[in-house]
Amino acid sequence: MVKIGFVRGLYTYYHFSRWRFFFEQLGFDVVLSDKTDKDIVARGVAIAPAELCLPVKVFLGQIDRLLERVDFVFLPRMVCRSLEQDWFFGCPKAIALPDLVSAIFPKVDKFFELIIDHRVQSDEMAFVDTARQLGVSSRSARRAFKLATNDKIPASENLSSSFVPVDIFNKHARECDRLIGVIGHPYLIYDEHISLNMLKMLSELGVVPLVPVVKENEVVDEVRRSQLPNWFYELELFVRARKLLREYQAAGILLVSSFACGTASVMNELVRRRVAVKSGLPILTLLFDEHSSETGLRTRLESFIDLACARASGR
Amino acid sequence: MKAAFPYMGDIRLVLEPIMQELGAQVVIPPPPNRETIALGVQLAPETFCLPFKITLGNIVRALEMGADALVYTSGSWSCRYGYYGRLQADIARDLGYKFRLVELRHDQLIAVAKEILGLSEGRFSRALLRTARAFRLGWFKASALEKTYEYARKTMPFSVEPKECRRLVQEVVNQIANTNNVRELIQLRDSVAIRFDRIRRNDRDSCLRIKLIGESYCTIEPFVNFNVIELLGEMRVWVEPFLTGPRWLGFHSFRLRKREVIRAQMAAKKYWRYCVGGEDANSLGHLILAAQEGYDGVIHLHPFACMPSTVVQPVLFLASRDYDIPLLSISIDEHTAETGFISRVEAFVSVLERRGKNRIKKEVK
Repeated sequence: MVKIGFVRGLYTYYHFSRWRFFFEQLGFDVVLSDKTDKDIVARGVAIAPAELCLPVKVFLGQIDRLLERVDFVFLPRMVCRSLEQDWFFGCPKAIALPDLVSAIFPKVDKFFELIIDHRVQSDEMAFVDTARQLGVSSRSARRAFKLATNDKIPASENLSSSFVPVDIFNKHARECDRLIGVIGHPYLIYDEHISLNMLKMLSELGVVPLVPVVKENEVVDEVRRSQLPNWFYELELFVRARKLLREYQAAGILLVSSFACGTASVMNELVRRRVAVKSGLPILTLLFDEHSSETGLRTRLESFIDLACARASGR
Repeated sequence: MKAAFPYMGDIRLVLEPIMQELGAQVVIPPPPNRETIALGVQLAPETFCLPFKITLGNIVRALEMGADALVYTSGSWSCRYGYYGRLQADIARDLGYKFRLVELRHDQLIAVAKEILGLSEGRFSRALLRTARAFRLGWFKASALEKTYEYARKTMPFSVEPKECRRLVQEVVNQIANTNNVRELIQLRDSVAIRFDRIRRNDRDSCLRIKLIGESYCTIEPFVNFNVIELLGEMRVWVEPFLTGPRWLGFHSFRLRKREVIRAQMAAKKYWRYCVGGEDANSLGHLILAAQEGYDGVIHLHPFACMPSTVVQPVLFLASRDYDIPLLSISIDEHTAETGFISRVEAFVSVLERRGKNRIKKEVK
């Protein structure tokens, strides 16, 4: 069977269950790359230009190892989505990802890409195009797409929830008073190596980390209400922060992003201005890069939790 | 209306008369300096790119000087540049300044037209006349400036005394800045060639040619790139930027010279299929064109952590290997020191010199 490799990184965290379902329907063997470890980071750092953010470096490191095991590597190109009659883009690194990968592995021709660009084509056309690159007829690709867009695919198969039992955390969440909201891209907070197992560390420190889950209609509502930058995946972060404030009694917010992440500098500022400052909620910005150390993180988290919880119990 | 706009190189020499002609007063803050950077760094989010910090410092200075409207080109796309206006306005409002934000966006041309109409007290014919006059004036200012810089770049490596050339540029630019008469501007533009011809020539018949590519702010603003064009000109190297202030206005604000942009982007197509901003496809295209046109090397300047420029960087290096043209990529932030920058550029130039000699030797053999 032809083996298709999926990289455990970046946007795979959002869409994996659907993507896997689509390709399995077409009869391919879907292989997910290993969890990030020291070696993968080292490989990524060695081949990537220094200024890229850590998740992209990890993505490249993952590919480097994955190439040995599979026949094809799947690369998503998240260009543009339509929402409320406006265009919402991926971050520049997401848009240029396949070009970046082929520049770094110029001699490899195992890559095939999925282009999500609603200005040009619908999702269905995009998936059909991708399947045709692998020699699948458009008819069976269409059928597989219809099945893949079915809502029956269990959400728990998404990478994010399979790594950490977020749902379990969230179930107790409303009753607990020591609650810390965590806002960040899933490819950061659920990658145990990059984020130094921060979620687990938080629960060890005696608080419940809460990653709010938002639905698409909530995002649409927020877009209608407030002017936000036109970044698709970053919208969700903002909506999560809003939801955290509205629905849960969180003691504080952790803003998690990677160093040199361009969109984070805008979104963190917006969250700080429009959510945190107005409500007076304590906020801690954590930047991760390949030099982050566990001790440093623990110290910062401890002091933040002390502060936030003291404030919350005094409230 | 007292309008102010972010400062970038010499675009103010073009934008200022346009806005005045449209009926607005213009507030010009002091050009970027150490103090502007310090102010911007203090106010801006820490990990934002350098142009944001500098323009923020600049805008705050302009607001101190009494500006009550900020004019930005902006838009909603993938690069952070599109959101400069809104975020900077938020920050300035927090500081207590009161002003209006005017966004020049291609999807809001009606609002822009209304703004212009408002400047002419709502009289349509007057607004139309003023707009026509303003853009005519702007066009001739831009073309005169463009021509002056072009001749300056061309003449400097071959002049006996680069200072002489520098002085002449300053003189012509001052003349251009001081006149709002179109006929005089045309005269100035046409006399540029003769005036630069009068500069004494040294005995060289060739020099190194370097193409300057990169993010627009870093390429255009001499304070940020340590005036690399003149610096290298004095080292007898001819530096040709792919973008200058007047050209930037033409390309981005008025979508002029589309053919040149398309030519560059077609060249880049092989490596780079989606343009994401920050002049990525244009830079890459011009790198390839430079290799084809026989340039000796390429310098790529970008702000640290600029999203489009960091992703395009490995592609640039790949193209530079494929097309056999040396590339120096430098990222600039508020901590970049002039000495470090200059020594890297100097080292690059000496590599190019040696490479040129070796190549000639090979050809002789």
